[in-house]
Formats: sequence, structure tokens, C-alpha cells
Amino acid sequence: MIFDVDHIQRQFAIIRHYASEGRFHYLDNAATAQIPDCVLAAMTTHDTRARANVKRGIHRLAQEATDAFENARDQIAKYLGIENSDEVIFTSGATAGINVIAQGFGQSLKPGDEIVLSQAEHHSNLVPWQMLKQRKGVRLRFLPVDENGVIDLSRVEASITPATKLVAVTHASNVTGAVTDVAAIRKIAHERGAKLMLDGAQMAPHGPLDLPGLGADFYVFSGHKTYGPSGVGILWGRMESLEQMPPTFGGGEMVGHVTYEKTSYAAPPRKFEAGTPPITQAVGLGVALEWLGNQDLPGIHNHLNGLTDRIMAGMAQLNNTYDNRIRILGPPRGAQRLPLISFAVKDAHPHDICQIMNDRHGVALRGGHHCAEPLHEIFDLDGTTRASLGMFNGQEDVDALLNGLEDCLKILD
Amino acid sequence: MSNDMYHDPIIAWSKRKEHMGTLQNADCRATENNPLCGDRISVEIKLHFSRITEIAFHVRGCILAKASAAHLAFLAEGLDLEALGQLRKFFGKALKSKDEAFPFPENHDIFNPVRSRKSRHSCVLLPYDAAMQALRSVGGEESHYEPIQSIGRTISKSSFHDVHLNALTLPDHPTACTPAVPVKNPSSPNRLF
Repeated sequence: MIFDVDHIQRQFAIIRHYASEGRFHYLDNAATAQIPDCVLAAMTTHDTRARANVKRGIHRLAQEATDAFENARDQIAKYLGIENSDEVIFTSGATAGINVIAQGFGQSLKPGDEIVLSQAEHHSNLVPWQMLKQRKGVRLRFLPVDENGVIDLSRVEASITPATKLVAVTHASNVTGAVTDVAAIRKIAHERGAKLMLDGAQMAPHGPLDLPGLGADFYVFSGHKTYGPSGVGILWGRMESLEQMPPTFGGGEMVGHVTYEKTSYAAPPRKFEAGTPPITQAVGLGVALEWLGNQDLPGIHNHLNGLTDRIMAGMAQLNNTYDNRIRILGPPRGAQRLPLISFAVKDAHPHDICQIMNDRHGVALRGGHHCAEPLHEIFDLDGTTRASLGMFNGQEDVDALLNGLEDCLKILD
Repeated sequence: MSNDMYHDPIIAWSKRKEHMGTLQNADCRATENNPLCGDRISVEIKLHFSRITEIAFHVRGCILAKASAAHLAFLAEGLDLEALGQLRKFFGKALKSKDEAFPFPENHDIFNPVRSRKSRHSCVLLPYDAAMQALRSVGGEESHYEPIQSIGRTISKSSFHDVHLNALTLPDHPTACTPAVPVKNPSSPNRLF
């Protein structure tokens, strides 16, 4: 089967909308991916046919809303490769999922206990643990990364100790695109009695995922990066881990029995879904992941790897002409990496590059430290510019990026 | 004026180095960060009767931040915290205005293309915030007057603070735009310049 990017593009209303302008090159998918028509339609249908609160109502719409909500949970479980959809918890996003773990799992930790992170983490997988450190006196240790931003496996053995209670690392970096060797880390973490949490915000859109095969204890990701809506995300946990973990938020739906004196909690997932969940968004995310799972994922991978290679080759060519001013972060050409390229240009600020790219070339990029300021300090950079690909991107987007980059090199010297 | 933000005057201002670096025996200094983009601007200032006599910036930031810092440095001599604060308010209000006819402070028209890019407003305002922070550190007082609508008239409701920023122009200015150079005249307390 040959991957047909035109067929994909036709499924995105926003691409059809801007096609008439002739200059629409959206390369900021690592921040937010665009949303296909079927997801928009599913949410519209839900809100025009079945809008009601879930679980509590007896009336027809409440039943239909509950069915749609739970159906979404099943669709997501299927994408994650898990059998028990009760392990799927709706949150507002990956950040919320990590905070739920930091507060819930962290509640039983005591001074001297250790949380192991990596140097490659997004702030969302750093700050919640720093807050836990302040509350509980736990120690934070960091797995170092090599010059390509890949977690240095040779240091894992020494970094994870019997005092380690949780290893929380990214499944793939939002800056370097480096993919974490989960198996090596999981083995040592579990040998030392620690749980493993993976931040899948960047990896989840590039499925399929096999969470049981990965062997993690917790996994989080966001809807808006997986061709779904914003305001919804997933926290997955092994049932025994979820049962052991106290809830973070109290309120309606998460209870078993309530008296004026005390409350017993419902079983997962309700235990972690206090209040009215993001119902319409959950329905959208379910459809998004079902749609994503039905795509030709190997074909998409080949397509995106080809575009990534084309970008890196183009940048290398520009370096020949422009005195090696472009520095690409992350694994080199040919090595495993996500289809995102962060780069620094000597004597050019990322925001100036992004502005010129947008204003003159219609290319949407992201500039700054991408919520990974400490990682940029390791690379001795104030910030980088990032191009991140989605399945609807084509060669014309790559060509616009490279033409725009040459323009930047001329203007910003 | 072109809506291209990277037009020649902005590029030229961003490359000016006269007021970039450090000062010996500065009276006050400050560093301001933009947490959204990681830009950092440090400023050192020498004062005479609370007014700026020398100013030097160190900018780790984009072209807009560099251009704005260099531009402000040319304007800053003679300003005290209140006058600088008024200029900053007026500049900020012009940037935020949805009315394209809303005037920029005198000689700030080169920043007109920034108006439509809200995410970049902080880039051009950061040098002002750094300089104000430095002046505050030595006890400068700010005005609580509303920002003026048009420079070339009064900058505040008090005649004490009348300002005519277009009084003088810079002879070696790199563009057709003519930034004003305030005249240091601390012996004349009823006027800033």
C-alpha cells in the first residue's frame, strides 16, 4: 500500500480552508496537531444528539451520553493495547495526569525517598516533582542525556537505587525527538522496586502503542497532540497501581459512600474522575484514536521519516552554503527519532525565525525552549526553533521550511 | 509603512552597539526576563538628580528586543522614572490599541508592525521594564497619571512634566525615522529636557 498524503489532507477542514491561500504549512504538530473531520463531526453529533451529564441521569440523553463516554474509553483502551478499559482515566491533559500521580502516588512518600527523572523532561514532568519535593522532602535524581539528547543508559543502573520509588521519564523528547529505550529503564526500575511512569505526550500520536508490552506502570498523554480535541487527556495505570494510589481530587462521582464524617472511594476509573468530566472532548478523543489506529501507521511512519530526512538533508546543504550556522539537536540522520527537528541558527533568535517563517513563508513553527529550559541549558542554548510534522504534511511543507530557512539565514546575519 | 516587521530600520537599530555593554560605576542596574521566550535584558544606568545620564543594555533576545533597547537608549538620556514610565505606558497602549490610527509615541512608528503581533509586544517593552526596574531600585517615583495620547503635547497632566520628544533629532540615525534625543538639563526643573 502506498501512503497517500493527499487523501489524508482532504480529511482536515482546516487544510482545505487555507488551501486557497496557497501558503499554509503547519509544522507545529508537537504542540497541537490538527483535527480531522470525523472527530469534529463526532463532537458536533454528540452535542446535538446526546448532550447531557454522564452516569447520574436516568433520562434518554443521560444514557446516551454515558454510553458515548464509556465507548470512548473502550476506543482509547483499544488504541493503547489494553484489555481493561477501567484503567483508562480521563484527565484534562498529560500535565494533569502527571500532577495526579505526583499528588496521589506522592502522598505516601517520605523524606529520603527518590524520584528519578531525566534531563530531557518537559516542565510538566519536572515541576510537579519539584513541588512534591517541597511537600514531602523527596530527592530528585536525573538520568543524564548524551550529546544527542538520548537518555544515557550507562547511567541508569547507578541512578536508580533501592530508595527510588518512581522513575518518571519521557517516552520521546519534545525537543530532540529522541525516543527512550523503555525496556532498559523498566528492567532496572522494577528490579529496584520502583514504579515506571512514561510521559507519552509526544509518542502517543505516533502509535500504535502497546502499553502492556512497554511494561510501564503509568502512562500519560494529551488529546490535542493525537489529532483530538484540547482539554482532554489520558492517565493510564495498571489496575493494582491505581487501586493503591489515593485520589487527588474529591467531589462527585469519585465516591463510594459519603457521610458527614468520612468518604469511601469508588473503584478506578471513577476514583480519579471527580466532577463532570470533559464529556464531548472524551468522545472526540475516542474517535480520534480509533481513526488514528485505523490509518496505515507503517506508511505514515515511512512518510514522516522521509520528510524528516529531507529536512535534515536540506539543513546540511544550507550549512555548506551558510558557514555551518544551523545546529540540529537530537539523533543524527538515520537514527531513530520522532519526526520533529529542533534547531538553532547562529546569530538568529528563534522567535525572529518563527516570525519570518510565518510572515513571509506561511510556515508555522515553534520557537523558544519548548517548556524544557534545563535541557536547553545543557545544550548551552537560549532556545531553539522546532519543526514538528503531522501525517498531513507533505514535501511542499518541507520545501517551504527550507526556503524560509534560507531566507532567515540571509536576513538574520 | 510596510507591515513587514523585519524592515530595514528595525534591523539597523538591532545592530547598533553604542549603548550595548556595561557601565563603570553605574548607579543602578536591573535584569528583566521574559518567561515566555527566555529573553533576558540587563541594564546599567548612571544618574544625575534622578535622571538618566548614561545607559547601557545587555540583550539576550530577539531582533525586536535588541532594536527596542538600542532605540530606548538613544531616547533615555534625561528621563527620570516618571517620564520613562509615561513613555512606556503610551508605547504599551499604542501597541495594544486595535485602532490603527492610534498614534505611537514620537519616533516609535518603526514599531508599528509589531502592533498586530501581540505575542511580540513584550519583546519591545522588555527594555523599558528593565530600565524602570533599575530606576525603582534607587527610589525613583512613578506617576499615576493616565498615559498621554500624543507626544509632542504634554506627557502628563502636570506642566512640570511637559515633554517634547521631537525637540531634537539624531544626526547619524540609521533610518529615515528620527528618534529624538532628550537634552539633559537638570538645572531646569520645570522641564524634562
